[in-house]
Amino acid sequence: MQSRTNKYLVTAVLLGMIFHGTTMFFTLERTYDALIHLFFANHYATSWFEPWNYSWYTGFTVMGYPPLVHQTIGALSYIGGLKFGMFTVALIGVVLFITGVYRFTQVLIPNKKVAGYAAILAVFSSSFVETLHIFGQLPSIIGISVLMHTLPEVFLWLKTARKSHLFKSLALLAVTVTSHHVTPIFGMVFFIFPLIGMVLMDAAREKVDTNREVTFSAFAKALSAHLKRIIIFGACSLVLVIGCILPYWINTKNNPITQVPIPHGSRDNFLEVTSSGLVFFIIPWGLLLFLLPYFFYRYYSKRLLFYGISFTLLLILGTGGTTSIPLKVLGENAFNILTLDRFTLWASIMVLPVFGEFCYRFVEDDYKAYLQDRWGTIVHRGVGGILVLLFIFIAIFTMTLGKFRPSQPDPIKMTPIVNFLNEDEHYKWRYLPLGFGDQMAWLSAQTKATTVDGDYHSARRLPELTTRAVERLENSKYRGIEGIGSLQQFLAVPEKYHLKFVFSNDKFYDPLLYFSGWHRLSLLENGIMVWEKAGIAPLPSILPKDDVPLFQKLLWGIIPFATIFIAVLLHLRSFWTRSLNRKKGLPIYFNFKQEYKKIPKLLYNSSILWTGILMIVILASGYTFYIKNTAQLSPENVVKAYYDAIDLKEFERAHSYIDPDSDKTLSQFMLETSVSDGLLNSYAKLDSLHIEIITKTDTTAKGFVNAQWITPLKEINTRDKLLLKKQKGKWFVLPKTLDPDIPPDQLLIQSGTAYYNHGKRAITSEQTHHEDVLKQPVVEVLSARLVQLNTTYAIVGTIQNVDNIPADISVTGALYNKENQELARFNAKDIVKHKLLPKETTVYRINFEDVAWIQVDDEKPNTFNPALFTQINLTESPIKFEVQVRANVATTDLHQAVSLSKVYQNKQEINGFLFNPSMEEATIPQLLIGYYNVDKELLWVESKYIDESLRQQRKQPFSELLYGDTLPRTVAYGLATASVNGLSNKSISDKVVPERNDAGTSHAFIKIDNMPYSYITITTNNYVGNPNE
Amino acid sequence: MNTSKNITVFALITITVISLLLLSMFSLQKEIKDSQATFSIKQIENRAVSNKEQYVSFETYDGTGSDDIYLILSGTYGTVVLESAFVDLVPYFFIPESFTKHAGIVTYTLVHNKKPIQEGSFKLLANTRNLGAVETYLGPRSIIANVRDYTMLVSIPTDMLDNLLPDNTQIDLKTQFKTAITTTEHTLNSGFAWKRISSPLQTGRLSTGSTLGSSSSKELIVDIFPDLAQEFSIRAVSNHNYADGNEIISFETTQIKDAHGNIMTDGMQVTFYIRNDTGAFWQIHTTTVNGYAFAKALHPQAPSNWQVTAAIAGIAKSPEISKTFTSIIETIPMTVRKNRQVVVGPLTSYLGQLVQDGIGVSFHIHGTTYEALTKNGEAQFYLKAEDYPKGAYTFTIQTLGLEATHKTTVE
Repeated sequence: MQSRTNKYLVTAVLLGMIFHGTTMFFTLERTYDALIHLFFANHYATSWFEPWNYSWYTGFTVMGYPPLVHQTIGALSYIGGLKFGMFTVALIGVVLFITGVYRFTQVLIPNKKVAGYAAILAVFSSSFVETLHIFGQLPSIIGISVLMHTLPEVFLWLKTARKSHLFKSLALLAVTVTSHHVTPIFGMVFFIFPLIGMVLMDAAREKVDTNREVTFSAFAKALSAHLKRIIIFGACSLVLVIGCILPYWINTKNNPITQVPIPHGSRDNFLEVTSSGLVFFIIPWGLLLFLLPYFFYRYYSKRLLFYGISFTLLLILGTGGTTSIPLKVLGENAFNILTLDRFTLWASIMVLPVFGEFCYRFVEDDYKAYLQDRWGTIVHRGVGGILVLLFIFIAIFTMTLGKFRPSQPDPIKMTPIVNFLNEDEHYKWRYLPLGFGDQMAWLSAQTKATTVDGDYHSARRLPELTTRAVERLENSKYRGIEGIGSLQQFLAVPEKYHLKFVFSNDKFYDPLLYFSGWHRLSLLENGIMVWEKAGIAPLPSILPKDDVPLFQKLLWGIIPFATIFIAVLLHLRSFWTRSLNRKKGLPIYFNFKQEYKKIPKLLYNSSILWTGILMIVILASGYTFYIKNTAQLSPENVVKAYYDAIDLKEFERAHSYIDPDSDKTLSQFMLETSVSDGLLNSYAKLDSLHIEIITKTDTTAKGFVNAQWITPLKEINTRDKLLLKKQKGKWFVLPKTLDPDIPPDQLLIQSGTAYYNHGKRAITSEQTHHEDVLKQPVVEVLSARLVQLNTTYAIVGTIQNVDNIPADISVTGALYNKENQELARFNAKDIVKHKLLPKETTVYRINFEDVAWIQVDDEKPNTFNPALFTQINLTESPIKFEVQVRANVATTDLHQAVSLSKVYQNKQEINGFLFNPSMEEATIPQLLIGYYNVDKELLWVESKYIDESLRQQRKQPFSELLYGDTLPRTVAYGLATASVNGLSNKSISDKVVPERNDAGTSHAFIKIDNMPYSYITITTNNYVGNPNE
Repeated sequence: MNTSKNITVFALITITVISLLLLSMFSLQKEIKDSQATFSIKQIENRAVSNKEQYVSFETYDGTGSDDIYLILSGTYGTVVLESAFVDLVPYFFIPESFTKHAGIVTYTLVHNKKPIQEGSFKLLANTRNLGAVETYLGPRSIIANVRDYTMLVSIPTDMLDNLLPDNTQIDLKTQFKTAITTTEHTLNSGFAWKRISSPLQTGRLSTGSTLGSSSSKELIVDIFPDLAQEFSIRAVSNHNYADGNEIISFETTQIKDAHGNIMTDGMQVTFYIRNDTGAFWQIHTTTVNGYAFAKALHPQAPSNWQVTAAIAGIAKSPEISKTFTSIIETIPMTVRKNRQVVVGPLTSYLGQLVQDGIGVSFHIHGTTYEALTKNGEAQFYLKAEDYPKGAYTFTIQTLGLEATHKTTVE
């Protein structure tokens, strides 16, 4: 038989290049992983032999990920930049994948046409599309593709024992190892072991005349005959897996992954979390699900029996947490570290040969004849056409999934951020991006500034991060308490990490930043808000690193490219012979070509039955989806849809659910919405919704909606009463009435004081001139008290800015034992007013937080509670304490937009109104309530956030529950250990306000009856989201 | 006998040889010492710093040019090891410019064959004829206008190569405040002079400078901020005294000054505290502008009496003033419409005009309280059939500080 260039393969490669090559420019940069690989590539491009990278996690080693793909992109970046490198490697991946499937199919189904079919199908394989265009897992793709190229060579070595095949297979395996470490390890189990089984089957089959005679004893004989080759291959590949990425293994041993498991959708129960089921099961399988009976039938045929077992295992492992089998098979550890979607990827790739075979038989071989005979030509062609369209549709749908349900924020222009970090030596501090998604990796690749966050969590070192199941700080809001909790620790004690700048692409975090003492610096031209914390020291010029021996650096830098070089050299000859020496016979596996017989009845019937079952499941789930999600079908649905629309700020949709007979026009509704701001309206994320429908006639209903909202500051529970009405078969929500209050004045005229600090007056890159450095404002600690509440400790007290300029304060507390050994240290987070006007006072409370849930068995709360924090576990009781205040000149966020009005105690509550006499809308008012004993000594401080914003010249009622428990016990008090800006507090109090009187302090007390304390004071603070100035 | 003679001769020869050897070694050692003595440099004189390299010439040089001879210098710059160099066959050491730029004591050691053979020291003196900048430092950069506070000016004159000038050099430290310019003469000690500047008792800007001959410092400025505020008083300003809930009342302080008559810095916080006759509490934060602070509050909705005071926390306060608000209506108009609808209003204000929207109205019936806000002077309550079956009811209405009880029968 004469070998010809397979036109199907050529078609497949061309199709693949056109299809993936054009679309990847729109998808790849929005994938989860591609930009991370780009960041690693940038690392190699700038320092090829140095594995230490300072950019993330206060420094980490890139030896935690096999380097080949990254180094290739890095090398290509010298030609056309990093992105050029990434796209080139992706294109190479596509070609390798298609040709890999072609070669793999030939081994399994020795038929060139079938292999050609499989190659074409591979182009549109939805799991491949998903892995490339949604997940962006380039190393994984290169790994599996090269592995598929390896398989024919392994077969030939085992079968013929020709050394050249051994070397070729090992060379390719080495390339796989250096591209992706997981692929060859599991590839051994799932792809090469069955291949060995198949070789033995073939060898056994050769000795006998019919398939039936391939018995167990025949197989055993074949095994003993081939055992030496198998062992040689096995031993060599083991050496390669360890040797090629030896530094990786050494690093893994030295720095075991301490990261607690991070939830991944592929480990979910797909029946419960249907979105994960869609992404990690339905989409990668796609049309292939319908052909499962055929796949099982083929893979459990005698020759492919071992592939059958492997396929079954992969299929089951890919179902994640739906059943407990994957957990039992993999063990707890592996189950929690691995992402299980890769099993589905491998399974769906494994079936491509038989899928190709099915299509071949359906289109031009025995099935065609059988089906045309049974159904007639038109039905056969029609079904074929539909299947092809469906297959391509699923591929296109998968590819565009990122467009419909964006997994990433819109692309951010990085240049303004990069410029900001370059100007005025801003790169000397760490920064933190918020709401960037995986684009933070792209930012990191472009700047030499470093961040405490990072995007490769296996490499983390800070306990603040490794103990949390949080992917990144920048998207911490999606991880509830753990996420925000992690973020809060960084924002509250930024000096520990030299963290000075936060780039916020998500205003959700803005209130948290403000109340933690940060302020807005500028809005960059790409819409990113820069937040700054005053008084943070720059990074030292020499940072610590974990160095590794030179031999490791050399191995890491040289081996990966060497494997490509060797593999190409070894294969050059066969490329040559294959393209020129046409007379050479086909590879030996073509001896095992199978003749197709008639379709077994059982297969036909079970396929029909399976298709029927699948159709029923699809229709049933579609119907359930319709019933549950059609907005106005039932009272529950319309309430759910209304809240969903409000949560997503789709106000036009929300308005469409409002009773059309009411006088609430769209413009009125939009107007009302536009004037409502505040924590609940602008910074809350709907967490859960519980709807009770109480009375329901055919046309009316009353519902109570208990909604739980996550905000960066607290959890808000709302209970709304909604009246519902049915009209023309649709349910509607009756609109709520609006507060009719009208402010007294139309035009407000007010004068005030504004501040501006030049920073450097001389435009120079030198260190700031002595005369341009402002004096630190003088503040005074008026009281400080270490209190104990059950087992927890806190420092409470009051602070006054006694200077004539506004101060931005940060308050640090430390606890000591009898021997003056420090037990704990933390900053006052949000229970203090950070920006103080001249002579303004504030109460404060310092909680001592530990790295939350540092013990793995600590119980983690299931629900989100931003106010919750992990108390530090003190080994000894603190006896002494210390308060340090650092003040810097504040020029922004000094608005006094909240005043108390008609405040009175009502049993356990404090009631009254808040009135805004200023020119700024108080987006989030905060009340700091200080609790005093009968001697007017401050014992406890609480912070209350008001849910609604307070607009100019308007009043708003408030009602807050007072502290109800017993008051904490005083452990120590006094100002002897208090210090301000490094000076003792006494030197300030003696000098600045030596004859302090009770002016103001005595007036501020509100008498409280029948509570464990006698007086309270209320300090008002406010976050102004959109300052007028 | 013969053998013993032989032994004697042998011993003699041995002794002779050994003594000769010792002698030759001794003379050899002396020769080395002699050869060392052939190198020496001229005494290095004290000299002014210079930004050119300087040479040191040899007193004696008896070598071949490839001798192992070095000059080690140690000074403020650090330590350098110099090799000799020949210019027109005359050997010199050249001290590099980086070394001669820095004033201070320099010790030198001449080393030959790794052994020191000559030691000494000399001074590099600041160049007092070619002066550079006068560096001044001033701090703290803002002080309070009282007798307790002061700031300090430190002056460090340098020569043009940035070296400190010698002690006892005279330097002028100058300050200017308003019209007064003060110049004081100081002598340098350890390279610098300093002056404590007591705060003037007036606010403003105090400029400082320092001169030495023709060279001058930059201007450094210290802000004088006012001292602690003194007691002040407040007054209320309002359009009318009616408790209509929709008028802004403004409280003003007198101009707040310190003990020396300085007006408070703008932006200083003054807090106003109000208590009414029922004990309810108001707290309004304001900031001063030119010493005046203005607090704004809404008129109450019920006639009441306010006690108002203002304070700067821990420092100063005003005497208490009182303010009385009178009612805008005498009775609450009310109608029952369609049997079940209670309409409160029209509520009118002091001119007979409708009250502004948003006045709170409470409606108590059967132990339940309903709250409503007025719109166009009216608030409406509806007695639902499911909650209030037919029968006679008594209800109370509260608004604008008034209370009225009515009876109605629902049919």
